[in-house]
Amino acid sequence: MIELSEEILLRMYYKMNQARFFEEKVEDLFEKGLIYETTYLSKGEEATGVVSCLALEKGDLASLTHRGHSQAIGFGLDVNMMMAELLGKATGYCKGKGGSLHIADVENGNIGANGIVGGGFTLSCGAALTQKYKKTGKVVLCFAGDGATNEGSFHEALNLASVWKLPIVFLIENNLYGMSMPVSKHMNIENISDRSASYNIPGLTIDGTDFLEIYDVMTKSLRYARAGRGPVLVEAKTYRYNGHSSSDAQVYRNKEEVQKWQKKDPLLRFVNYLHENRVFTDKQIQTIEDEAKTSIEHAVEFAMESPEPEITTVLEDIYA
Amino acid sequence: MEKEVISPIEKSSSSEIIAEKSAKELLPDSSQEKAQEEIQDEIELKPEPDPRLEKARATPAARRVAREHQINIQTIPGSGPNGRIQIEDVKRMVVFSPGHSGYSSPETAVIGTALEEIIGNPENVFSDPIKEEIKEEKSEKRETKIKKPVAMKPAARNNKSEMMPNPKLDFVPFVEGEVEPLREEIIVKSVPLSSLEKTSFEKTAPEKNEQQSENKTILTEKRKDIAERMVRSNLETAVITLTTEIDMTEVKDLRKKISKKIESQAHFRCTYTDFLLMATARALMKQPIINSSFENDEIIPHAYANLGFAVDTDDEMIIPVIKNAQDMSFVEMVKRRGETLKSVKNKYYTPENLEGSTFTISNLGMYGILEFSAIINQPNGAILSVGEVVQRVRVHQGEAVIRSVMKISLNLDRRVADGMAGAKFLQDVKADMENPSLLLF
Amino acid sequence: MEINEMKKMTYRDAIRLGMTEEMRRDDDVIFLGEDIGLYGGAFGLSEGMLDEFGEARVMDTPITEAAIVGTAVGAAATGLRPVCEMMFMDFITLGMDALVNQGAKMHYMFGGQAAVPMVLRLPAGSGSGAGAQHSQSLEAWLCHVPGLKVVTPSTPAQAKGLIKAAIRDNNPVCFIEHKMLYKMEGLVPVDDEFTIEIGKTFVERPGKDVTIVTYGTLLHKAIEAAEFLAEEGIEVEIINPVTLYPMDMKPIVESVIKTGRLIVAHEASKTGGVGGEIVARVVESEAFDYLNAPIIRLGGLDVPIPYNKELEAAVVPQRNDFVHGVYRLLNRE
Repeated sequence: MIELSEEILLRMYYKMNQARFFEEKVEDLFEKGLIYETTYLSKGEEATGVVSCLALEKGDLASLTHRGHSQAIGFGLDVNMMMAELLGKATGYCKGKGGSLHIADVENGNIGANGIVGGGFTLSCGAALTQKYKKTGKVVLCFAGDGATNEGSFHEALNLASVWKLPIVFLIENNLYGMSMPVSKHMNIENISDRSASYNIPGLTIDGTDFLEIYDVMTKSLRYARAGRGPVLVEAKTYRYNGHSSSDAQVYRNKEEVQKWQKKDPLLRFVNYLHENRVFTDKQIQTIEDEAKTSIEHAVEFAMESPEPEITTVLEDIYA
Repeated sequence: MEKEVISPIEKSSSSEIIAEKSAKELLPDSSQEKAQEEIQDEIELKPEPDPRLEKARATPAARRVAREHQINIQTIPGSGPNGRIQIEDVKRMVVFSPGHSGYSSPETAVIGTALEEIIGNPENVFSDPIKEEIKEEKSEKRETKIKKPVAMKPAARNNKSEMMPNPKLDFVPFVEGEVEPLREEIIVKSVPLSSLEKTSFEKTAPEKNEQQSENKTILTEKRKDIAERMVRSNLETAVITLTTEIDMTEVKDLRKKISKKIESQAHFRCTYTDFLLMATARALMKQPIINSSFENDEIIPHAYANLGFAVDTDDEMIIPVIKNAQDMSFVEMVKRRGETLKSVKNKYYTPENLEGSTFTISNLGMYGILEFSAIINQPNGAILSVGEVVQRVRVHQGEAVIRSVMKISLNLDRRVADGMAGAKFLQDVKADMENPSLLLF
Repeated sequence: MEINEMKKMTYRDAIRLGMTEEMRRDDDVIFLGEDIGLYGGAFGLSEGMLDEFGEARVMDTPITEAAIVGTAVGAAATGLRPVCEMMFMDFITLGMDALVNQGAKMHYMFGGQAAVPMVLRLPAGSGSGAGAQHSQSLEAWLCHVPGLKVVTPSTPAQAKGLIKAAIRDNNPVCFIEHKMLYKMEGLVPVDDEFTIEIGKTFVERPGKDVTIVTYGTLLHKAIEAAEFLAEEGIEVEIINPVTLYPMDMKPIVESVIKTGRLIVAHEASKTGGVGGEIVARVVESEAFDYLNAPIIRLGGLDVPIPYNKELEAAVVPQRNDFVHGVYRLLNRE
């Protein structure tokens, strides 16, 4: 097991709290009608999103999913600009043109959240090809959901990454449902990681609510890919507390199931770990949580005060 | 509700109105059915109105030029497929319609001024702008019908190509000689026209009027009228003459073949004239500008061909009219021509029979005239002069052989149409006459 | 730079030369596709390129169009300039998500972040008896996607100039090359800085009577028709847009104002084709008021391309279709 420094634990806990508050705030803003677009909340998936990104090195890249707020916060995106983008403001990451589904910070290696399920696999191959070709030593972390692994692009990308030994770690956040379709109905295998066998690459299944396991496996996987040995497929079993989107009545699952998973809440497990190992004092923990909460409130303020994009920008940036 | 269904369609030029109407209003099934029923009711009352008849069929370019010159597009005859009005049709109007103001093209200036400037060289029309300006000044002095000659617009220069003689045509339009001698010449010709001793217009016509007028020089009231009209015609119009030769051998052969059959159907013998009338009516439909009247400074094109043909009786020349010749079959034409001629000979006609011609044919072939230049029967825009059918040596299919040939000349009021339109008209007549079997269908 | 020296070569060689020159000039240019390495490309286009640039830059891929296009988009967004070859244009259907949903939109959707400088080479067109799934001209699909650029060269010189411009362009460029033109010979500028500006329409032949707008192989049929018609004194102006999207309409509009008559032609199916768009734009423009005849569209029949040679030829407009179209516009028929 990889040793975790206080510093990394602090960052993890802070960002996971940020992610949790961010999603709660988005839910709130959506209900108030301030967020235009339907949103795909990642509440419950903070550990996979944040902790796996914290395992990255500076300069590594990431491709996010439509349920990508936690991933983006983990990757280090500015919550102010993220919130501004969700509110469609000119100060957002995409100047109000992308929205929640397309938050990107390409210069810093986030090649974008993706509205197409399975759209990120082949893009990651390309990004990884650049790293390999330019010998940068950087790795691409490709997020995807369980449903995306049934797309042809998943198999084409894994095959190509395998034969070309591209430096990619595919992290499948298996939240047990592809929208409403339970995993048991959309694939005939228990673990998505089994699919790695077809491409002769390592495949691992981990507990997506356990930050320790995630960090450990991801660090090792990234090291493997960085060494030029090819891609790795990691499946993290997790759970989303909200519906697929804000319009989801969640008829396909019962409250008991949600409650069962909430007992394994990644933040709860994290704080328990901090208590058990006496890493931080209660006051320190409280301070971290408050700071995270304040940062999100600031982000909302920033976004609300930000200007709407000029209507003339609608014709800008069609071509580079 | 029905009204609302119809109104957006009528106002379809205004997209805003349509936009304001909800989709429901635009396409309500029930009210559409109602409207349908209403239309059917109307059908029972009166014939179905064809919306296409109310709108001129014209290209956008034609509409633009008509708009620019404030010409009503409806009044312009179209020379395109299905009578479509094309830019060329409108430009002809622009050049020769003196009614419009604020526009002047070099051609206009030339027509209104001195013909001598362009005698013998039609390309003088396209002289340099400076000259054209001078011409325009002259035109003002002479008080021509061009009301407001203005500086030539650059766009007007682009119209030049419309006037270029086409070297590919087997005859070249030329401009008639000086005004004064021309007038005299034609008057001299025209006086004996009706007083020649021959009594029949047609060589083949069965009836022969034996009476002769005693004195060629006595001017009866009618003769005075005719003479005055002709003089006026010549004074008022700028006329050009175009002449072509038609190989009549095919017509001759065909006439021989079908003569009996036609006679059994039409009760008249068919003549060369019938072929020529058919060919003329068809050519007029193809070149409607030739088929125009010029009255009170207005060009009035016609969608029908009312053919006047000059007939001289004992004491006068009269021009009976065959109406709607464009729709006639050959047999009908033979019948109508025969009947008309018969009624004229028997003086059994009403003024109606002599009115409303849109184009006239004058035939002096039976008098041994090879080629001549008849005076335009105003308000017609043009007249066709037909000469005698004679035997001449011609190169036919690469061999020098004897062929029957006939010369026809078109006298054209240059205010109505240009030489090119006349040339195309003659070309059409010639083509039909040389393939006469097509005229039978 | 003076462009004087010309060399005779085929359309195929011109494309290869253009790519080769750009790969020599810029190390970021890579080339990927199916069987482009040792095999030299399905149409022999990349013969010898593996030898010069090695496997790291001339990359044979599995038969995996979705991954080829997606990889190119990802690589382009992160700093490379990939050129990828679809063996047949028809196969772009398998890579459409990466092209349409990812590559084309990325720059705009991300608010101006990430350029996607990639080239997709698409061998298109019928005439080789390859049948319904290997003969299509699907350019209209691509022209419907804002963010893409669609170009199609008709001569060897255009092929070289355009492939180089496409590689230098910072956007996804769909380079449609017609299979039946591969063997066509022509003079090509030797200069390695010779490019053809993307987004510029060219007048291929001046005239005053009728405007023909066409591209690809039909350009050559139109030129044949124009030569035939010239003997009758009819002067046809032929315009080749070269860049189908975003199209430079100015020369087309100007030409229609001059002639008042327009024929738009392409090999692709008539319904929903690029021709319809050109016509619509002409009608929307000031040229409308100069139209002196209905516009004629010559397009492929709305059928899949059949195998039989005669049937195949019947689908696509031929020289005589241009001649008769011109006659019709001039009321000579």
